[in-house]
Amino acid sequence: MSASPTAAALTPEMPGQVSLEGTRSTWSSFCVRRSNRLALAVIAALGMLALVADMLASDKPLLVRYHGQLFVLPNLTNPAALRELDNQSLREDLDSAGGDWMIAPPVPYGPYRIDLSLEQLPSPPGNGHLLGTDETGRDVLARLIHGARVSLSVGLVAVALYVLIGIALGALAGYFGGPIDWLVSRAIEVMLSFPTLFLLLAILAMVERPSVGHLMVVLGLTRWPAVARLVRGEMLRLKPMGFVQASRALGASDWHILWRHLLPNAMGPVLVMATFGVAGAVLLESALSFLGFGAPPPVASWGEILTEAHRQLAGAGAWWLAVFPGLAIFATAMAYNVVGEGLREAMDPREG
Amino acid sequence: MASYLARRLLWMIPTFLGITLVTFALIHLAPGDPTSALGSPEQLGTGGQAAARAFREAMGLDQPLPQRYLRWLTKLARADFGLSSYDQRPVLDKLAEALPTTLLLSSLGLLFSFALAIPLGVAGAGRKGSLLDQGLSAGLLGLYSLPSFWIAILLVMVLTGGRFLAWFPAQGLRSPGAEEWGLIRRGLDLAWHLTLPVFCLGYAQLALVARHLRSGMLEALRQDYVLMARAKGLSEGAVLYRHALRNALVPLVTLLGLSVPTLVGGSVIVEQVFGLPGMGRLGFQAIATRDYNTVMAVTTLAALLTMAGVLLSDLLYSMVDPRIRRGSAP
Repeated sequence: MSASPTAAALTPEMPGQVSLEGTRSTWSSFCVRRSNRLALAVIAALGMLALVADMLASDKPLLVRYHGQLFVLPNLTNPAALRELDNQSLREDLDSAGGDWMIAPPVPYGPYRIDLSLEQLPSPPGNGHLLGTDETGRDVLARLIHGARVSLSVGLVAVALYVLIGIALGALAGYFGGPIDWLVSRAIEVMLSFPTLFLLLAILAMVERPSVGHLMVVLGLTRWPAVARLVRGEMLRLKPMGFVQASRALGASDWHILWRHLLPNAMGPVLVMATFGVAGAVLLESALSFLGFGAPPPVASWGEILTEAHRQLAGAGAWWLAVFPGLAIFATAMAYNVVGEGLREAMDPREG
Repeated sequence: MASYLARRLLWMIPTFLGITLVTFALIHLAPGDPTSALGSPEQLGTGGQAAARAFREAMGLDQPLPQRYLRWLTKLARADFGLSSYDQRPVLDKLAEALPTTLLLSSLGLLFSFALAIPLGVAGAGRKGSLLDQGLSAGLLGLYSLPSFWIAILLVMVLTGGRFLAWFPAQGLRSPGAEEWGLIRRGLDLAWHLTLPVFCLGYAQLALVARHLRSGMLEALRQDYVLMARAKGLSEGAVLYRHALRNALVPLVTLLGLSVPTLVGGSVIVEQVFGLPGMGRLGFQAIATRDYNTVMAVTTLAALLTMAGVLLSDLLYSMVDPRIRRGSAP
């Protein structure tokens, strides 16, 4: 870390504080691998995709001059004058002699738009649908783009929720010990004894009409034990260390020690677990949607398209319904898993 | 050893009570009860309301929650799970029919994942940083990121007739007419039917175990006894398998117990896609039809299986690592 040995001896490392140098070295050793940078780029791209889904796939154009009137972003504002029209009917209705024009989004279908012009359903890729349509004639690509919203928002919110719960319970149990620790430890054991998918299904079955919000809350309330166990272990490991004892000797309060010394030091492994957790939550969300307990129809979700692929198996086998949503789930989970693995390696001093 | 076992069993009591409490709360704190499906009080009229009240009294639903919990617990102790509201059969009978399939599937999945994970984990750790190691690590992470229901659908689509190859059966456990075949042919038929489901159930576990084993091996390879083994001129294979692997396997024992909930949870999807009559499918159908008695029974049984798995792996752990026995209970 330091150039001369004397300087190093004079400025001992303070594990209680996150040193800037330490952070930078974690970050730079994370960036050494090309696969890590690529995975981070994929995560950013998926996030953007979800944010601007309405600009990429919509029933309405991005910009249109219709009968002499200019509409800016009707795909977002949905003005009354255009309510009955979609990209196709609008284009046919344009008065090009009068100077009308339009810019359609790259995918000119919304996630719910049913293409009535198709003869065969589900329709294979082609016919104006890059990735084909499902059995009701909805564009698969449009549903994939909008499905990213469900998967990512459920993944991120659920993980944020359970990480917070896990940190709170784990820190209390590990730091204070005694009856709190006993109670939290038993709760962790109990929760870890249930098969995840089964517990989630059983809870969601109790909900009258499950929504995306229910998914987030149920995942958030059931997946915290692993984080709590990790944080509890970190507390037990760090508590007897010198810098904590020193802080206590200086008269620091429990709150100060927890908040300023213990938790910052436990954040590394928690971040790694959270990153892996997003991948896990995306997989779980798609599995629940696949089983019919996810986002309610007609909300577009990756797992739901796969349900249809499964229904179609008996017939001709609509491969495009099976391949593309699966790839989307896989790519998302893989990107988060690679980043998690990269972070774990970068933080592990023994890994080279 | 006996005192350790007794201590562990005692520690399981609060956990088991917690499990039953969660399951019970799950069902009984949900809004509504079986009579609310009949209609609102206005729709039922006075006669209907009286009938609903009588039903609630007969089912004990008018009693306070703690009392109902105790009643359910005493029935549980007699393995009385009540009747399934789906087909009015005893839940215990349905469980007894479904359990063997899931146990067979899970144990084969466990066997498959550990049997393949060990050579893969050792090979990766043995040449850390090599192209082989990097390829294996990436491949295992990929395997871990694949949704099992997707793989199941793709396998059914490609390998079970339909459009492409017809190498495996798509559904069920045995071929029609298999009852009359000899033992060996029946066994082969079962194996043929189980190949795809076991693969789907086990591959994620395989990736998990292999990754854990790799880091365990790396930890072991840093130890002095490995240096010693190398110094006295043992072959690399002997160093890896006889010295490092034995120690790296110890923490894997814990994974064995924790695999149970993953496998039982995964069986929901695999049994659903491949049409296998196991606990996963029974539980899923019970949830879909709001058959509460069956949901409760399957959930409790799955949690009990997990506890048994954890206990078993703790016992194995204390056998291979005597330091655990001397410490206090975890």
